[in-house]
Amino acid sequence: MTRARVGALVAALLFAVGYGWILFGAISNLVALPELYRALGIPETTPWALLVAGVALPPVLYAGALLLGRRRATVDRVILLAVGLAAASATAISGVAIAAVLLR
Amino acid sequence: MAAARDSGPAEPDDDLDALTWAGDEDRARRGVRTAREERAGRFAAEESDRPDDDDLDDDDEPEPADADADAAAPDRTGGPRDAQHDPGALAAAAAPAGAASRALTIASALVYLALTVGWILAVQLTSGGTDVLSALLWQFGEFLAIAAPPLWFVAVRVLVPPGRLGVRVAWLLLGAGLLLPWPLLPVVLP
Repeated sequence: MTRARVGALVAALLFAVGYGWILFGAISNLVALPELYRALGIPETTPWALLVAGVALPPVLYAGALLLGRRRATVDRVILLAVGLAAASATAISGVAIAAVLLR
Repeated sequence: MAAARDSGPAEPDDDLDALTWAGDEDRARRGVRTAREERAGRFAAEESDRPDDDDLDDDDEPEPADADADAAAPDRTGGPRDAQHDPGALAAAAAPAGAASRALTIASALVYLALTVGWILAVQLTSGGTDVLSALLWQFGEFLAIAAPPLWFVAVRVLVPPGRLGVRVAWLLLGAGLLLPWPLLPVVLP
């Protein structure tokens, strides 16, 4: 295994922790928020699309970054993984904000 | 050179003698290009193939593969390639593409700058995390959200070759849609 391959693998594993953390938050929301809305007596307002998109986006962005990074230099792969992680974080915060607006 | 001087009558201009070769005149009449003319033509074509130098263009970005292939491709039709060796014609053809690329760069830079400012304002309206660790991670997430638009812009600039304008536009539009600062929505809505 070449040094570049090892570097790419290490980068992919390190970034996977960040993506995993965002995914964990999204899964927590998917499990807990419907319960909370049911307890508040407003189960019909549960933003299912947002919750499902929140779970789907981090792995999609991670896989996209890995796919686009194939046959590229390690630096390019790191850039792609960083962009994907930042985008995943921005969309996660956006999801929380949209859910709050939908409750009004 | 000495052979040329010996074989014919006196040369009209001795200064030009060093730049000519016996038989050049005949070759020119037959339409055969000298090696120097070939080199000059190729150099002019390469010069005009280069993108315009400006502050927003990455000089170290690779040339698009199709442009190189086109320049290096043999003339299969057998026709003259003078149009490709004409720097004026090539510059005229490249000017609209260069202007379009520059306009796209400026417009997208402004949009992504606005997105970044939007996220800086948006994270002031959000809060998360009940304990120290989750609050810290939430703040790191906010930092990533602020960094997302400039990162996306730079990644598109670095990773998409400048010749593929359509691909650049598509990625920039996708990024602008994905990275809208939605937490500003309550401020914007009445």
